[in-house]
Amino acid sequence: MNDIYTQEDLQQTQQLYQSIPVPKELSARLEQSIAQYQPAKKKRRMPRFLKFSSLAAVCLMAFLAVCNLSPVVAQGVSDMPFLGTVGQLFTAKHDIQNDGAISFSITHPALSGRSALSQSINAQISHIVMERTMEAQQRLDEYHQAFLDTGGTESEWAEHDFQININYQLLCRTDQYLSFVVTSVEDWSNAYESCWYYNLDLQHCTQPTLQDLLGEDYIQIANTQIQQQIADRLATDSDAAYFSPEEGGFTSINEGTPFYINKAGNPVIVFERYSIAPGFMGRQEFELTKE
Amino acid sequence: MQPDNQNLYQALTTFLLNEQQKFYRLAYSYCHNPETSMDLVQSAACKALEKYTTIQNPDYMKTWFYRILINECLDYLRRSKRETVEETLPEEQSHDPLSQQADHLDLYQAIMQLPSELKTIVLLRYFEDMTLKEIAHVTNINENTVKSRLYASLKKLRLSLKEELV
Repeated sequence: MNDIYTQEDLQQTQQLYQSIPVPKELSARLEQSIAQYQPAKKKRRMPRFLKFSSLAAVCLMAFLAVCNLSPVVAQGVSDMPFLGTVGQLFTAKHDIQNDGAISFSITHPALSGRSALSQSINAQISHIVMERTMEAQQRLDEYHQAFLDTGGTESEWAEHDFQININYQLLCRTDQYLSFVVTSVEDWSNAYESCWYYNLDLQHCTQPTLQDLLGEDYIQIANTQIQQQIADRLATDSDAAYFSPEEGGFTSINEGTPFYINKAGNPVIVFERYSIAPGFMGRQEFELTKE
Repeated sequence: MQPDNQNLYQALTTFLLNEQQKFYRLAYSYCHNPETSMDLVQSAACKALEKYTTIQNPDYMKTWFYRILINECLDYLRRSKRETVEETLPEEQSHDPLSQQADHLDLYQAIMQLPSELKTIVLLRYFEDMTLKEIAHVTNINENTVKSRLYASLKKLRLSLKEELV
């Protein structure tokens, strides 16, 4: 076909073409573009299992509707132990999902029973689970972007194993009280550990407050006992340390201070790690008694 | 993201990163400027990342992306109104004393000076090693037209070489 220049000429021209130098930045710029398009999708995306939890919510609503509409079903339900009132704590859903660098492990508790209290607490828990998951995802998306902006690559990012765990723990179960805590932990930073405490009075179908348990003077009673216990701990353990009030240490409880109820029926005040003492002291608990 | 789209996305990002040097050289053949070439490749990559879910058949990803890239390059030429640009080659080549090398440089420059619609076909055929069918996909013209343009290009190159050699 080419009688003027030969196949060999063309091959050498091809070699010349192959020798056009490619700037090193090109690779980084492409990775940047790739990252730019991926997180945009992620940010709007709801983790897959949350979509299923909407389905579970619909099923629960349907069940509740049946209970409310059908006296026969409602009668059957109320005959089951605890189901007619507040009910039992159970694992509504357990999800493990691995999304590249991030693994989610969500153990979603719920209360059985069709009382308004159960439903209200279940709704609160569902909200917490959804909100924490979305927040964790968003924080990680932001970190992902910062990681790439500061020279990290997608493949280096994929080597990470961030874990987001939402779980619950039954703290106490007596004939009268049920206490449990819902925890959310992001293992790439301890700062993102959060706890929500729930206390239920099974006989009265209420959420007892510190005032219900300790009386009108509950703040005074709690403060005195907590200060006494801090002093006792400092006296018996020379390694113990608490922040002074000036350092942000303990001054007073209030109506929203978290607590759970122990087997003796006493409230136990909980201060999360770092809140009133250095991190090595861990979570601080104070059992209070009605005087 | 649907599992299919996830696979497609993976395939696209791998393809973009693995073949980036080819894209750059192709873009460079149109604009002859390193910065602009990177811009063109990046801009084509962004368009591809935006629209990849519209690919009907993953086998066409390569020709689909080349079409985006070439459209970017041609748009750029239209915008800058420079249909042909003086070629500047890497230093070591342009200063190569071998006359043999100079001949290849002539052929190379002749290709670079072809009108865009012919140049695209020569680049894809001889530098990207595409089949006529693939070129037809990329340029969105039928295979016979590709063939006739390729012959026209070869003829033109031979003529232009003759003129250079006189």
